[in-house]
Amino acid sequence: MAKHCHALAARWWVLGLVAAAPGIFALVVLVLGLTQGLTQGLTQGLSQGTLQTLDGGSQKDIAQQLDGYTRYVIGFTIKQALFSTIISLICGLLCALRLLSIEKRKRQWLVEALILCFVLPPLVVAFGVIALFGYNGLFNSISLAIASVRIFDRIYGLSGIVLAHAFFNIPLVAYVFLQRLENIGLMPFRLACELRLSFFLVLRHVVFPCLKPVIAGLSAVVFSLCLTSFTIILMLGGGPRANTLSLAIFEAVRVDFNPQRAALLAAIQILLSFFVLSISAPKRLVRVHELSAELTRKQSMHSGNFLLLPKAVKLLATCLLLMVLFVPFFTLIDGLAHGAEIATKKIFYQAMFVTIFLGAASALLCSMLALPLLWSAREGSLIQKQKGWLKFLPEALLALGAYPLLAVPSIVLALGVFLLMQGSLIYQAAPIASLFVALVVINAMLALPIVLRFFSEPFYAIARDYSHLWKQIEMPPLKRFVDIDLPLIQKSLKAAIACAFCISIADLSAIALFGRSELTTIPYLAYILMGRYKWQEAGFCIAVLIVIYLFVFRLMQKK
Amino acid sequence: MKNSLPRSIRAKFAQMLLLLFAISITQAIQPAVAQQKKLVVYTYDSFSTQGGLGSVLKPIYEERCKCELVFRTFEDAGTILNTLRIEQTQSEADLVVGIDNNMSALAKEFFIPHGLGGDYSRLFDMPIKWVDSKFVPFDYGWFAFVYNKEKLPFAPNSFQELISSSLKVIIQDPRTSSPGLGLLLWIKKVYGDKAGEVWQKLFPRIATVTKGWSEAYGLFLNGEADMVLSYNTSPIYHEIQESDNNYRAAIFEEGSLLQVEVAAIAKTSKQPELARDFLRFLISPSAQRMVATNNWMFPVLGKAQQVHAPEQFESIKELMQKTKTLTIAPGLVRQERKAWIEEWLLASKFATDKKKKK
Repeated sequence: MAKHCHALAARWWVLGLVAAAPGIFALVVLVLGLTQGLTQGLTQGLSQGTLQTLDGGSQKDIAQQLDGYTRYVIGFTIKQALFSTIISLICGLLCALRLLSIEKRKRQWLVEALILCFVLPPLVVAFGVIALFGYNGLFNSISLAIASVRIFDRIYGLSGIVLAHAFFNIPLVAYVFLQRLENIGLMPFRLACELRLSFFLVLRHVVFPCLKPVIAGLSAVVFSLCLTSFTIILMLGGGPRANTLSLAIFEAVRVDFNPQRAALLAAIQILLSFFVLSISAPKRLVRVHELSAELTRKQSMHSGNFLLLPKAVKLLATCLLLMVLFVPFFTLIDGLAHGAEIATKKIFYQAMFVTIFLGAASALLCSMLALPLLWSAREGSLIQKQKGWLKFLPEALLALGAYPLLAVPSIVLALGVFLLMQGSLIYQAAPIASLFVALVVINAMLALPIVLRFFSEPFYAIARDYSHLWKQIEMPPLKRFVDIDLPLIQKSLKAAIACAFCISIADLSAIALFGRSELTTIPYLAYILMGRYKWQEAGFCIAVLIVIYLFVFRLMQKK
Repeated sequence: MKNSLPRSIRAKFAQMLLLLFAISITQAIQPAVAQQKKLVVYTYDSFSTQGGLGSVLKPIYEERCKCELVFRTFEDAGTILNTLRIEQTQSEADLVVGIDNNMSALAKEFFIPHGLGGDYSRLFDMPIKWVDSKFVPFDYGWFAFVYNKEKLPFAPNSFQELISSSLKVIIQDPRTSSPGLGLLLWIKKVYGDKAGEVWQKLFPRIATVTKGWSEAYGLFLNGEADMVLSYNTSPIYHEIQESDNNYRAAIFEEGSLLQVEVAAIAKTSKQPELARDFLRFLISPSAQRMVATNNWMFPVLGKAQQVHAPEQFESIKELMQKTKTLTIAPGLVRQERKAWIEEWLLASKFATDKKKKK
């Protein structure tokens, strides 16, 4: 036994380090970006400062203006994230309360629909919001037909962004709140009902204390989702007056090829994210872990007929809930109903092929990175159990493999890979193939932290349950992995692959940098079509994307 | 070892391998079929889409060169330049078609001399004399705000009137689009140092800023704004293609900025001879005859070369002789673009602030 353990002890970190390569790469990009971006930014600022003394006005103005616009972008980023968070929390609470007063079985069905809404890519939400609330959207068409006025003016800008973010986040907020409320059981509500407490008092004395522990963590999650959100801003921003850091990073790369500026902006974004997370740091991570665990846990449902919502609130909440569920549904139906002519074009099938192949390849790569990483971290933790500071090493390895990937904006990561690859001989020999491989690698990197989250729970549970057994029967590690781990994690493996697949195919930032006519995915094709103002065809592509998602999730839920 | 893998995983694995195999076969067959020479052209959307000038010229030129003309399309001209900048020496471009005189100076280093001989522009019929060793013009026009007369009976006749109106206009981003840059330069040319202030007042009038011309024009046609930044020839499209006489271009009394669309041979081209041949084709009378009614711009060749544009073009030409044609020195654009763009970005911010106070 000792021999095995020693052999393992020598080996676990080698495999782990290999699997942590993307994380290490991201860390290098991060450090380089931060130092480069900051020093460049500073020296630029300094040199402009000195230039200003040499030739007076104009140079100083430029420095000030750049400064001013960047500050404006930071301000807008925070502003929209703040509004979006507040609205998402309030609306999410309303939806949760409404769901609570629905009968158990129907509720379960609705909750599943909610989960699906949350995992749909932001592209779908953004498109759905435009299709419903846009100038020529469904609601305006209805009101035009009835009263010949438009209810909604143009939604591009802050209002559109906040609206889309709200629709994107309400399902998550409602879901988490509902979980909490269900867990406290019937008694408080029954008591409140018997005491004839008003809705406001119930809110204050029952609902709020129950939700209080999750509010901070959840707000931080929603806030950072809005802070780093890219697709929604790209589609609903409508010009420089509604610009956020992530879009500005994209523009610095894609629009005014300026890697230094991109690095500077990325540094600002990373600092901002760290700041937000540090406010609610330990809570947030725990909550997200809990969330993924809760997704699989059997839920304790109860009927909440005792929760008496005032009529107006009930109506509002019902409308809200219906709307949240209606957005993707409408996008799907509307998309499939129109714009099918794109399905006669070669480019559509090419995009379809690339999308599925890309998703499958990066999902596989992602699991192939996640499994060894977790495995070696677990081995390490089993072996090094009582050895002082060394026991943190496996954890550190895991963190190294995952966290840098979370911190670095995907477009910066993509730019890093792209610049690295560009000089290589392989790229010159087969540009499309190597671009594809790069896309696979980047998308696998983007999905890795989430996939790790999926795996870690069951993987460590196996070790908890079986590690004594292993030690007694002296099972070699590889055999153990194949015979015990693999069958036991099969279900999570499937879920993780499906998840990685979905994340990979929804990405718009890397593909926008790498995209070629031969290398177009369905979401990117939709984006291009929107640029050509072929909304119906774009809608069809997005509907197809939803169908792919539904299909993958169906597969995932099987067995 | 392998035997101990659960059966279901093994089966999935086998399926996956089979799929991979099938895919690789289909991929392998493709290049065997298409063994032709390829001429890769970077261009903007509306050039290569169905009915665009590019799609009309493609079959004619492919017949002539016995090669394949491949368009890689972008939202607008600005994005083409950025792509060249990102791709550096690895670009697959042989040619770039559709950047304009205003941005050509920004992109000099990506192109090689066209080598068409000194007198290639001798036959051109253009409002300015064209001399350039790298960029070959293939059409031109004037930027203008386009509106629908039925919905907007009284259109503004100057920037000042536009600013003081309550209209909503759609413009393009000067960083990604040639009309967008055109407007930036136009206002700079007219207002000089006051351009920043003009933009601050103009921003509240802007409904949205799009990445490219196609999206902006599409939004406008869908009724999302009163006016759109386009060309003074755009109404002719509606008149001829749709027999709709309601579209008009506002002619501003401050003058109109000229745009000359150009093509050039990319530095990365491995077949500059073929690329040069395409340029020759592009300015030949047979290709130029297609310009007016496919790209809806003025052809660079005139009646003397038997290139006849519809009569509406002639009347616009006459009209433009009465108004001021503005141009801006390419060198100045190269030098000042960054500062002007930043001025523009900053103005967008002030516009928002001001609006809030109201």
